[in-house]
Amino acid sequence: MDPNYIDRRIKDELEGLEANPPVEAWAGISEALVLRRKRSVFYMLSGLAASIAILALSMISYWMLTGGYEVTAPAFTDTGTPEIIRPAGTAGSLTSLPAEDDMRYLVSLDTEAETGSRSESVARIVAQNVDYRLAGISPDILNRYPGGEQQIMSVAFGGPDKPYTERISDYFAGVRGSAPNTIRLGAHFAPQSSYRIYSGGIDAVSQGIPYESLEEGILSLGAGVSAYFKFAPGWSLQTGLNYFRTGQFIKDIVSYNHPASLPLYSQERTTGRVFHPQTILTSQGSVRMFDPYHYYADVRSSRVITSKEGFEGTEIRTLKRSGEGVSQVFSYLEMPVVFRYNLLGKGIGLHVKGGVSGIYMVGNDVYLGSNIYQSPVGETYGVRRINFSAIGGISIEVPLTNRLHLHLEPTAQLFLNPAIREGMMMGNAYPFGYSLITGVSYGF
Amino acid sequence: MAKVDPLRKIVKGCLQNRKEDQYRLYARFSRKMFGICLRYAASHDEAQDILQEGFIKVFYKLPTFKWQGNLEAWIRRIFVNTAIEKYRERVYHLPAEEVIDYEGYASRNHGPDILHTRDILAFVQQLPLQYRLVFNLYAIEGYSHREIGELLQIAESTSRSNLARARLLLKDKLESELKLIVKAI
Repeated sequence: MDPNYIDRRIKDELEGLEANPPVEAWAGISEALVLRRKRSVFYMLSGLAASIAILALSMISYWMLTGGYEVTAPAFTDTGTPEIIRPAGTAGSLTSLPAEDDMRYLVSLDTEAETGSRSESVARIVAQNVDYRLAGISPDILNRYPGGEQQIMSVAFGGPDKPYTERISDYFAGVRGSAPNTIRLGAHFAPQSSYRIYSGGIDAVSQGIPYESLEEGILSLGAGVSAYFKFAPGWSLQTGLNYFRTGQFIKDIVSYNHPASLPLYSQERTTGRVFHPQTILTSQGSVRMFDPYHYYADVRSSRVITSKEGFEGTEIRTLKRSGEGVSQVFSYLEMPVVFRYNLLGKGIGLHVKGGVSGIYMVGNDVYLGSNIYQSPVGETYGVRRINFSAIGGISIEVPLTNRLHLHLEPTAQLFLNPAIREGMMMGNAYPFGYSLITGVSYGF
Repeated sequence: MAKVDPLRKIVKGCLQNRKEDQYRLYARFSRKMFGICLRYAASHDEAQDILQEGFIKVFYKLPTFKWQGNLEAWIRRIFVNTAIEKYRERVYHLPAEEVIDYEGYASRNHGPDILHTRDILAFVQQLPLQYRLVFNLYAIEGYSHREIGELLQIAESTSRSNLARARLLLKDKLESELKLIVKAI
């Protein structure tokens, strides 16, 4: 047979060959395209979060290296015994003092300070860290800028070679809130209500399970430490480390145990691990049970998958009902980068805040019932370790003393990525939470 | 008013990530491309793998298509390259002798039937991986041995010898199949 004949014959037959691809081929392509898009969004958000973090760190570093926000006063020459300072005439009047006397300093007013044997008002030039008794200071100024506030003020010092003229005038145009040259460190706890937004579930894939009616949010408690850096009038940057938990309560799952509380499943001799044959499907992944004492049944849907029927040494009908529902909980450590802007000029601070956070999963537990502070009975497959979230809210900052502030911060948080890794679920569940961050901070 | 080329409209939709247009493009070319995949693959499942991978690449690379050539030829080239990449993955993972060993694969016995396209396709699919690739590239796609050598990173002489062996195997297959048909008649 002529080789060219073979080539020709086969070419004639196969060159224009057409065939119907399997029906599932498009589903695979479509899914891959969606995953690719989601992945690119995820990388974009990661890049954005990283850029913001780098920018924030750069600003903090610059701020620390350069000595902070511009409060550098003119050279201070009178460092002898405390000078008496007081406003000339009416507070706030900016009358004709010579320009060289018009020196601006960051001043801390304290109306209750102990000086010597008695309590009186003092002013502290922050840069000098020396107290100056206030003399003749206008009640108006003290009322407007009570203790605990640090403000840029115009201060004129008397001295042996100068006329005794002092003036404290506010230069608050454009200067909002408390001291711009302040680092605050704080600690807080945060009661939180969390749940998830579920999207993209396809009934055929999720086996028609109506997750929305079978799950609900949970309450938990978080805690953390924060640092606040003021970098511009009214603006501050907050970062820190928070621990918090999100999750959901899986309803209508009934658990049973042995009447004598004996284990239903045995442990492997070598590893000590329990082979539990049950998995529970949830909108946030599949839960693998590992507690040997419980058997689970779904009384409203088909979420419990049992790979092996029966128990070791007992019958299902002898089991007794031990509880209802399971709680699926993820614990996270979070490092936020949050920008805050103070809407009020003085006294109580009212900030709006917004930012992003990098979140690292440190716990993945499932509990019997709604008590999420007991021994876990299972864990979720495919939970994403590294996550990102958007944060927004308001912060009410109440000065308790000169340096100590109380914070009340109603805050909302939404994960920017699903809690479960790509490919583990068809639907996506994005955890969110509302928390009331309550704590104190101390200014330096 | 100038009529908009429907294919351009589909491609534009694909570039905007519109699912309907992605499906339209797939529906338009999937039969032809699956035919190509079947020629390069050893099985239906493998062909499906190449098809899926190929289309994902098509959608991913679509922004680079500049309408300076024929879209179908461009897509076809992506599919051939995908098949070659699959071959490279296999070569990397398989011992060398498995690639060139053409002995011992089972011959199909169709019985008294006419020699159909699917039989010829089956003969090609039964060729050892490298022979199948060389035969497809040379006899059907029209590549030269030098080009095949560069694509598969083999010597030009190896490409020639692979083609000769592929032909020999196909000849045996065709002849034995024809004998069966003649006998049955």
